[in-house]
Order: sequence, then C-alpha cells, then structure tokens
Amino acid sequence: MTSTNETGHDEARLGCGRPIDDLWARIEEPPDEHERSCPDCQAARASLGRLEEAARDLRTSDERDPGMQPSDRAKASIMELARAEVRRGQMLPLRQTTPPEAPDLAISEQSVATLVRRTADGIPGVMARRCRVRTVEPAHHADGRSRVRVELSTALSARTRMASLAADLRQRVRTSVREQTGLDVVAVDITVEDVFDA
Amino acid sequence: MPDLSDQPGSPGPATADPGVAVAADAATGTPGSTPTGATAELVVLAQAVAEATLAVPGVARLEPTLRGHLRALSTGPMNVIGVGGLPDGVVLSRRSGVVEARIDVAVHPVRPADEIAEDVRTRATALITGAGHQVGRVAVAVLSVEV
Repeated sequence: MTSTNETGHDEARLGCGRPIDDLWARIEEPPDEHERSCPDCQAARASLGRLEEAARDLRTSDERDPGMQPSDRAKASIMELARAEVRRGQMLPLRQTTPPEAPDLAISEQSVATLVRRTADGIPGVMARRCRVRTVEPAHHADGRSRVRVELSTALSARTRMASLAADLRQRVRTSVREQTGLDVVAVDITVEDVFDA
Repeated sequence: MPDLSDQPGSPGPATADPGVAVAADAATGTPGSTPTGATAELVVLAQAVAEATLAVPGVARLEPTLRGHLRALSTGPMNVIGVGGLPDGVVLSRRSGVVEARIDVAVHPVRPADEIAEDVRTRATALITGAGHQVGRVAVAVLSVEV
C-alpha cells in the first residue's frame, strides 16, 4: 500500500509495512525492537547503511569546502536513489531462465507485494498489512511461468463474512498478479491479525 | 530523472538524456571524463538501448539504482563510468569482447510485466547484435508496477 506523505512522494513501504523514509530517518540510530527481528528492515538497513556511509564521507569532505555542499536537488536525488534501491529488495524470477539463481527477467518482491496490498485494500472491509511473496517448488510451469506463494496479513471489519471474503480475496489476488505480472499465484495464505469496527 | 551534475564547474552530461552507464576499459574509464573510442561507442549503444526500452509499450521509465550509481564512481576492472555522472537504468559492460546489459525499469500494468520485460530484452539484444557485438547476458529487472 502506498500513500502520499507531506513531501508529495508516494510513501513506499517495505514488506513489513514500515515506510522506507522512516527507516532512513533512523539510519544513524540503533535498530528498534521491530527492526531487530524483521528481515525486511534488516535488509533495507544494510542497503541504506551503505548510502549513509557514502553520504557521511561526502559531508566530511564537504565540510572542508563549503563550495561543494550538495544542493537540495542533489539531496533529493540521493533519496530517490535510496528509495529505488530499497524497492529492489528480493527479486523474483518472471520467467524460467538459465542459470535459475540469476534470472534474466525478474521483478522485485516489493512491487508484487504492493500490488497484492493494493488489491486487498480495494475490497470493502479489508485492510492489508504485511505481505511476502515467495517462489515455490517447482519454481516454474512447463511454459516457463514462475510460481509464487503469497502471505498476506490483514485487519478485517467485524461485519465481514470471513469464509466468502477469503475466497474473494484469493481470487482477486491471483487474477491481479497474473494479469499485471505474469506470475502464477499457487497459494494465498491469509492471516487476520485484527478486527475493526466499520 | 535527477541531475547530479549541478556543481559549479562540473562537466556537463555527454548526452542530453541521463539514465545510462557504460563499462569502459581501464585506460579510458575516468568518471566525468568525455568518453572516447570504444567507450564512446558503448555510450552511443547504451543511449540507443535506453531509448528503445522507453519505447516498449508498458515501460514507464528507467529506474535508478544506488548500486549502479556507486558502481559509476568506481575504477575497478569493470570500470563502469557515468555519462555526466548519471549512471541509472541501463548498464552495459564489455568483457573479452562480449557485451552484457542490465536494464532496470518501472512499468505500467497495461500488460503483464513478464511480457514487457521480455520485449525489452529482445529489443536490447537486437540493438547490441545489430551494432556488431557479441551479446552475453541481458538482464531486465522490473522494480515497480505503477498504477
């Protein structure tokens, strides 16, 4: 799920739901309780940590030469790069390729997760939370299409009928992912973490 | 596409459009320098690949990556140089005469992303072979599906 924050940027989120910009704002601080146990945050911290190091080196050298201070445009550019780098995250193969561990055609897990969350949020009474997408074995159909499994945690309205909702949600996720990415969703594991009044 | 070459006295971009990075030989791979010879040929090819990629139905834009940007600042054996310091979206490399490509894109869901990626790879491969090079791996990564 994305939203627009105060700066007007779409608020990209990690698979656990935490905004990337929040993580960047805290990059110089020790990881909090969630980040210490979250593989998404740990991977993102590793990527952003390298950027933070490079930025720190730049600041150090720039302190000696005020004329080399990065402009606001340059800083904004670096943030766009950071967001794009974190969006990369884990890559999923789009088609069967050789060698299989280095697919020639791939899609970021985060983009597929965003698509799934967007689909789920479009159903009345459903609020998507975390989403993970994983390849399954065998990884491909005979025609080369990749097979994936979706794990989605949600909050549901107290008025929803869970049995019919689950079936509807699974079908919509399978359809939207297939139509927009070409991936075949073989299973959608839905976890209801919360119930809200609506 | 962001322009990082905005410091006083910095060299202007070698091309009008940012978004390409090219691996050069050690002798010519100086970041920010004007590409010459074989490197210039790769720069032109990378530009053509970038334009062909953007012309594929469903491609929204080339995506910047931090890895590509940092690589452009390196002077290792691969020697990826930035064109005007803006190495994003398309990376060509040449080793032992074989040209490989890595293309990072964002797409619109007008058709499945795997079809779009396949078309990008096909067009890039055709351009590289059409330029008289032996083509190696051409990898296409979809980093975002835009609504």
